[in-house]
Amino acid sequence: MTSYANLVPLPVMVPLVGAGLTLALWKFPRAQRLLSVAALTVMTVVGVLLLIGADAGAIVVHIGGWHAPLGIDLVADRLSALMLTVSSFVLLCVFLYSLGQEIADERAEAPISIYHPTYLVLAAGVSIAFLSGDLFNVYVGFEVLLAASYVLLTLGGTSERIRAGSIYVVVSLLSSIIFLTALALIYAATGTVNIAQLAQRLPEIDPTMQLVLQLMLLLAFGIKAAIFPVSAWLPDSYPTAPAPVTAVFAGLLTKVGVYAIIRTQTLLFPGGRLDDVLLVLALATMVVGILGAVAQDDIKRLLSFTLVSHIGFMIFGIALGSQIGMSATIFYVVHHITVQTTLFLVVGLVERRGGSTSLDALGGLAKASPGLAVLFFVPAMSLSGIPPLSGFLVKVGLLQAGVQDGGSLAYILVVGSVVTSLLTLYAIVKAWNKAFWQTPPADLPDVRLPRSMVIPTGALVAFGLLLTFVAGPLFAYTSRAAKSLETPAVYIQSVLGAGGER
Amino acid sequence: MIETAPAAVLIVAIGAFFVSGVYLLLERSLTRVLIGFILLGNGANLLFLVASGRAGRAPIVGETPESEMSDPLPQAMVLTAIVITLGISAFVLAMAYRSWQLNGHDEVQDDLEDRRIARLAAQNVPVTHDTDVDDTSQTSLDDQAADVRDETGDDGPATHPAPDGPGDHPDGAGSSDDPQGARP
Repeated sequence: MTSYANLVPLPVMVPLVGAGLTLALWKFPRAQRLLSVAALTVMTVVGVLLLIGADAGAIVVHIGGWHAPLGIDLVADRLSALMLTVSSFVLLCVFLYSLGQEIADERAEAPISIYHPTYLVLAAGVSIAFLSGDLFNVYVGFEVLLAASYVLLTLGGTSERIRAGSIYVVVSLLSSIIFLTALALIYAATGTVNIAQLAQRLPEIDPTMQLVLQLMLLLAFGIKAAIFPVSAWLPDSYPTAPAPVTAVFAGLLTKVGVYAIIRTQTLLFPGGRLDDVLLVLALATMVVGILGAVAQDDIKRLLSFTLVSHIGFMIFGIALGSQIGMSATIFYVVHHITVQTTLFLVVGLVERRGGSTSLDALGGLAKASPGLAVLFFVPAMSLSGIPPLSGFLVKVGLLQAGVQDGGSLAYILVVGSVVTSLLTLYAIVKAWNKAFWQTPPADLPDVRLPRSMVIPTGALVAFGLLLTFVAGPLFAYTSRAAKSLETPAVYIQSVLGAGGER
Repeated sequence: MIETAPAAVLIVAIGAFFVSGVYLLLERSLTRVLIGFILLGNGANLLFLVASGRAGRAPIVGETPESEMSDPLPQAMVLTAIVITLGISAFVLAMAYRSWQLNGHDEVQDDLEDRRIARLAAQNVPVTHDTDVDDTSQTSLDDQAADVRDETGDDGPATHPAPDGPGDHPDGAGSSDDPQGARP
C-alpha cells in the first residue's frame, strides 16, 4: 500500500519534468523524442501499477506531509486509476504516431520544438485532473491541460487554426470562469475545497444553494464534455488541428469533463436531484449530435459530431444513478477514448493517403490500401455498436441499466440510444462507402504510408479489440469502481482517515 | 455595520465586474473578449475574498493571535487564479495579434463549414456527390439499376453512367481505367 503511494505523484511529475527538459533541449530533436517517449512510457507503466494497487482500496497521498483537510491530496481510486491508465496508453500511442509523422515529413522548423513540451504538459494536466482529491486542484489541472490544448490547437498559427482556435479559447475561458466562480461560492458555503470534506459538508447546507452549486459545476464540466446546448464549439474547432492533436483531444479532453461530472454526481451531490435534467440533455446530445454527423461531408467533422453524440451515452449512464448504469458508463468511457482516438488517427492516415478528408474527393481506398481499410473498419464498427466489438458490449450494458431503471424517461432514452446507434452506423457506412468503396473522383496521390504511423494506429486498434476479450474482468472492475462510487463514505474515509475528522 | 461595510463594497464591485465582463465577452473582437475575461476573473477573485469572511491581519503564526487572522486559503487560491489568468491572457493577446496579422482584424468568426452545410440543406442539395450515381438525369431508379453493375467480378462501380440505356456495361473497362489497379 505504501509502495503504491509513492507512485501516485509520478503521472503528474514525470511529464512535467519531461516538459521542462524537452524545452531546454529544443535544439536536439533526437533527445527530445527519446525523453518524451520515456516520460509517457513511465506514465503508462505507473498507470497500470496504480490500476492494480487501487483495486485493494483507494491510494491516498498527502502532498508535503500535510494531512487531508489542510494539505492537498492525490487520490487514486479505481475510477481514477482506470482513467489514468487508458489515457496514458492513448497519449503514448498518439505521441508515437505524431513522431512517425514528424520523421516522415522531415520537418525541423519551430513548431516541433514546442510540440513535445506542450504535449507533455497536456499529459500532466490530464493526470492532475484525474488524481486530484481537491476541487481547486482539479481546476488547476483543467487550466494546465487547457493552456496546453490552446497551444496545440493553434500549432503553426495558420489562418484556419487561429479562427477555430479563437472560438475554442473563448468557450473554454467561459467554462473556466464558471468553474472558478463555483469554487468561490463553494468555499463561501462550506469553508473547504477538499473533495472528501465537501462530500461531508455539502449535504448539510441549504438545498437551494446546493442546487445552484451543482448546476454551476455541471455547466462548467458540461461545456468541457460538450453536452448538447453547449457543444457547438467542438465540431468547429477540433477538425482544423493536426490529426494527432485532434485525436488526443477527442479521446481525452471531453472525457476529463465526463469524469468530473461523474465525481460531481456521485460524491458531491449524491442525491440525484438533477438526474431527470441530465437524462433529457443526454437524449438531446445523442440525437442532435448524430443528426449533425449525418449531414456532414467531411470525415473529420463527421467524426467530431459522432463524438458529441456519444457523450450523450455516457451522460445517460451517469443520470441513471444506478450501479450498473455507472459501471457501464465507466466502461463506455474506456471504450470511447480508445475508439474515437483510433478513428481520428486513421483519418489522419486517410488524409495522407487520399490527399483530403472531404468525402467527395476521396474514393477507392479499400483497393488502394486494404490495410488502411481494416484499420478504419474495426474501430468504426465498434463505434456504431456492432457485435462482438466493445461498442456493442457497452451499449448493451447501458440499455440493460436503462431497462432496469424502468422509468418512462429511461425507456425513452433506451429507444433514443438504439436510434442513435443506427444513425451512427448510417453515418459511418456513408463515410466508408464514400472513402473506401466509391470510384475515386480523381487520381489518388501516390504515397506510401510510413510504417511509424501505421504501427501506433494498429496498436490502438488492437487495444480496442482487446477490450472485447477482457470485457469480463474489465466489467467486473468497473462494477467494483461503480460500487465504491455509490458509497461516498468509502472515499471520505480513505482520504480523511477513520472517523473522518471535520 | 462597520464590520460588514468592506464586504458590501466588494460585493458591489463583484457585481460591476461580472456585468461588464459578461457584456464584453459577448463582443466579436477577441481583444474585448479578453478584457471581459480579465474583468470576470477579477470578479471571481474578489468573490474568493468575500468567501474568506471577515478581514483580519496577516495569518502568520507568532505574529498575529489566531482570532485576528484572516483566512489564508482563499488568498492562496486567488494568487493561483491570478497567475493562471495572466498566462492565458498572454496567450489570447498573442492569438489576437496573429489574427490581426493574418486577417486585418481580430474577430471571432462563425463556423464557416456549418454555414456551408446549412446553405446546402436550404437548397435541398445532397451534401455529397455520388460519382457512381447519375443524379442529373431524370431516369427512374429502375432504369439506373440496369446501369449500375454488380460489384462481383469487377473492380468497382462505373465512373460514368452508361448513356445508352439498359444493358451491361462494357466489361474490363473498370480495370483498365482504374488508376489504383496495380497498387498492392
